[in-house]
Amino acid sequence: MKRVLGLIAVIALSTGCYTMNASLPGTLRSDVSSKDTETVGSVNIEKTHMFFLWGLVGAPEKSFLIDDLAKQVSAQGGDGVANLRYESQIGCLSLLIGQVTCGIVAPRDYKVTGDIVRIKVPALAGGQGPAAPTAPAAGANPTPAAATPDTPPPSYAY
Amino acid sequence: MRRAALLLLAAATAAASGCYHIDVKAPGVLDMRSNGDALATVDGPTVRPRDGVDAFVAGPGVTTSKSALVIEDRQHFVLALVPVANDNAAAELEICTEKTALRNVSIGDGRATGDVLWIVAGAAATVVPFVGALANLVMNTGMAPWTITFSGTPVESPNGGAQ
Repeated sequence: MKRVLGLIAVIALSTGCYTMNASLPGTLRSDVSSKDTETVGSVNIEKTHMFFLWGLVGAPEKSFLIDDLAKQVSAQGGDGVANLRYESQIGCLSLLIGQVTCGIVAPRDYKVTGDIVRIKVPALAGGQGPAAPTAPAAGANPTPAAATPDTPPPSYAY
Repeated sequence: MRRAALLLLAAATAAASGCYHIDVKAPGVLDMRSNGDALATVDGPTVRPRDGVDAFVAGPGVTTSKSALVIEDRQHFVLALVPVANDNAAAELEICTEKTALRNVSIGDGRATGDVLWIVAGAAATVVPFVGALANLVMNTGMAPWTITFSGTPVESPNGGAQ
């Protein structure tokens, strides 16, 4: 029993528990103000991730949020997200599942919200992010400033 | 009766707000048109990381290098429900994105090694009669830890980020 507890302590100390480390696509810019953007919708991602053994096992992929974020932004013809908010918690049902299974299954809830915006200033130099929007949804206006592989973004004089 | 009422209140609070509720607002705009990989990396802001007891209580804070900027901010919760002294890394995030853009951004949370050490230290304190039990109560019930992590690579921003 002491060996098992020792092993758990070593794993917890080396890796932590309930570890979430999610990549975000694109570039986080502070030079773009609200007057440089036009809100076209909102993003709302709610996901529950199942950890195991008190959160020691089952860390999610780094791409946990990328696909959903890119899909929602692309579907609404946006270029990016403003007022991005990341929330996580052990919600009511997750808490119940964790208690009933004595922590063997340990879910945690994640929520990402924000305003989907069309950005009026030119894109930064660089290739498209892995989850950058590729084509606006039907009916949405194309984005003039959007960088595509065929049309490199304009360069800046720094 | 009073104990039942307190348990009910705790359960209702947990149901309403959730345990270890982390709420991080990323400053600026996430521009998904470009991953910024053609931009030169620059030095992050000059922020001295926390050290000593401060780092143990509130996490290391901001650590920067040419290729990475990492924020680790420890939050504390009473009974895992009520945040105490919790600004959700807002000040650190503001400083780190003030003058530069960030690419390869990651956001997350969890029980970091420092949190586990905090819990172990609280539990270990119980070997000291009375004071140890009190210390454990304060550390692990009154100030249960959870860490916010945020990282990215600082790159040139067109106007230096100043608004």
